[in-house]
Amino acid sequence: MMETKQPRLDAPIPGMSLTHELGARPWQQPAQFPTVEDAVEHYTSRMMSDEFSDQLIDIMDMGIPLTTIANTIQLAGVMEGKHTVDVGLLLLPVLIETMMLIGDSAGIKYKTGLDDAPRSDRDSLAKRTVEKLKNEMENKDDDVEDIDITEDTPIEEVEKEEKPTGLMARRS
Amino acid sequence: MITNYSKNLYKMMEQIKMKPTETKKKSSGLLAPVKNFMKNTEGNDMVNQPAYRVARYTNTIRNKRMEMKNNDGNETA
Repeated sequence: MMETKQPRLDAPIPGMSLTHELGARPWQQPAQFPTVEDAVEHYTSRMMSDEFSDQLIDIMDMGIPLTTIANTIQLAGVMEGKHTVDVGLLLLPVLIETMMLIGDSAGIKYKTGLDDAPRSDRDSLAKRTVEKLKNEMENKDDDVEDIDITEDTPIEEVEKEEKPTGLMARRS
Repeated sequence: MITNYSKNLYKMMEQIKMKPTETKKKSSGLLAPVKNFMKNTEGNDMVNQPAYRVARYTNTIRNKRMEMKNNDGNETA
């Protein structure tokens, strides 16, 4: 049975998300952990839990830099009203170091995001794409070579007859 | 434009020098001075700064990590 289209009258008005009472958002309330010590204790105890560390190891294994992960964690904390922005920024080195500790204890390789890679060494997106395509082409060629062509399969050559396109051309 | 401020903060925290904690034993005699008024306490302000406290936390965790790494290296070698 087809659903009949009806106008949705309870849809949000554009810009509605930007208009809210002051203090209604969690970050507009007093922070849950006002000092650096409180916030560090909260995060370290949370990060040391098995559930969190397992997820973290998966993410680190994917090659995401620790600086990015730390920034995401602290930003989420600010949005949830756990701590203020300045406490969040001060927390960053502690979060990075804790993640390094977890990564080392798990014995995985991770990207810290702290290395100063020179500009020239950085691969641009275009360069990487070209290399990826080259690799794919090489792999394809290898696959073609690998195919066993013992059976003689006649290859039908299809010749396309060029049709005359002139005004005086014959029509069939 | 600074985009990776996590890196900048981490590097900044690395450069903060830790002060050794004072473990001076106070004399317990009746005539022992209660407070040294001539002591310069300006240097202690740094210790109470949030950045310094964070640097101390970071150093502690880093030391533990290095210790663990060294232990692993010794065990495997």
